[in-house]
Amino acid sequence: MTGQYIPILCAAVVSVGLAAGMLLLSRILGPRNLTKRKTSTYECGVEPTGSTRERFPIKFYIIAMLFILFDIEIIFMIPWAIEFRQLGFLGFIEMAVFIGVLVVGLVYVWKKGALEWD
Amino acid sequence: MISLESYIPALAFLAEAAADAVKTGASEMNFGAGDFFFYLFAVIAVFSAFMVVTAESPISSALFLVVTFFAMAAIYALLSAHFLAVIQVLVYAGAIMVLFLFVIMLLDLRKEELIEKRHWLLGAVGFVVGIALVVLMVASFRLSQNVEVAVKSGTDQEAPDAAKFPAIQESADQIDGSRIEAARFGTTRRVSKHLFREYLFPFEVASLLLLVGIIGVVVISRRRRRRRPPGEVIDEEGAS
Repeated sequence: MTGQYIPILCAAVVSVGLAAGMLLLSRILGPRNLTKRKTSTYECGVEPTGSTRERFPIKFYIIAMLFILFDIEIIFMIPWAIEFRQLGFLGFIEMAVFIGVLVVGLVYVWKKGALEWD
Repeated sequence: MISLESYIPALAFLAEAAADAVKTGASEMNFGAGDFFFYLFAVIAVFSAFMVVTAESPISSALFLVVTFFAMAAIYALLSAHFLAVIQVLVYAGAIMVLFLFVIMLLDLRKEELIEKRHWLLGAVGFVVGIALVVLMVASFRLSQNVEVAVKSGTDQEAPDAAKFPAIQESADQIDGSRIEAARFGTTRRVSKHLFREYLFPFEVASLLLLVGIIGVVVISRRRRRRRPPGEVIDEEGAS
């Protein structure tokens, strides 16, 4: 029952091990002589000004949040799509109502101009 | 939903379970590979959850939360909730974490601000909520045990006797059958059947919840439209 997850476990172990191993090996094998110039943000390039922790515009948040909401809509569609034939016409109506409600939201977002970047 | 009344027997159950655990000890436990992985991922989940709370930087808390989500997904998989495990990784460890990181960057918290804003009342509220969650967990554990007995008695022919002694009266075939049943329990097909037949109303209500979320995010984060100064040249088509 859980045996089918062994490949996933192997993949997880290999990927974590590979990443950790590379970091560890470069730490052990790599020579380090830290100079002031080397530890600066850009060894060659423009001198950085100000803090790294800049405030981000709210536009990114709107996009991320809307992405998640419509992402969850899609996730509800996965089990529906798998059992589409068995659920029959009633299942189609159910999903139509579900999507219909969310289309109202999409229209609202569109009309309010939240999808526009500027 | 768990009502308030179920808290009191749950507390009694907690005390009973603790007494039982002390009596029997670990020697009687049947320790298999599944149990090993359960404890492995449980330890990872609890440790990283602890690190979420105690980490200094909000970013490292968020990254430890990813680890917690992955460990939870593994536990879901061990409980044969396959669909939920995949969704846990896709939605929580993927999408929701992106949102958390965005919010951390948006707020631009500095260390001094984080320390200043701690208040004793928050600690008290956290303590009460923590106790309530423990009781809720025990209550749901107890309820799920009842369900398990009901499922077992449902699959057996001699239902009343089997409900009393399910482990003894079940033949080898039936144990195998119930195991296969358990393995299929959380597959996408099963989830689909439950979601679109039994839990149709909650499913449709979920769409309203998403709609509220969509409207809420637009209302909260919409910028006020600035009136353009009369001299400014408008070169966009969609400018209003």
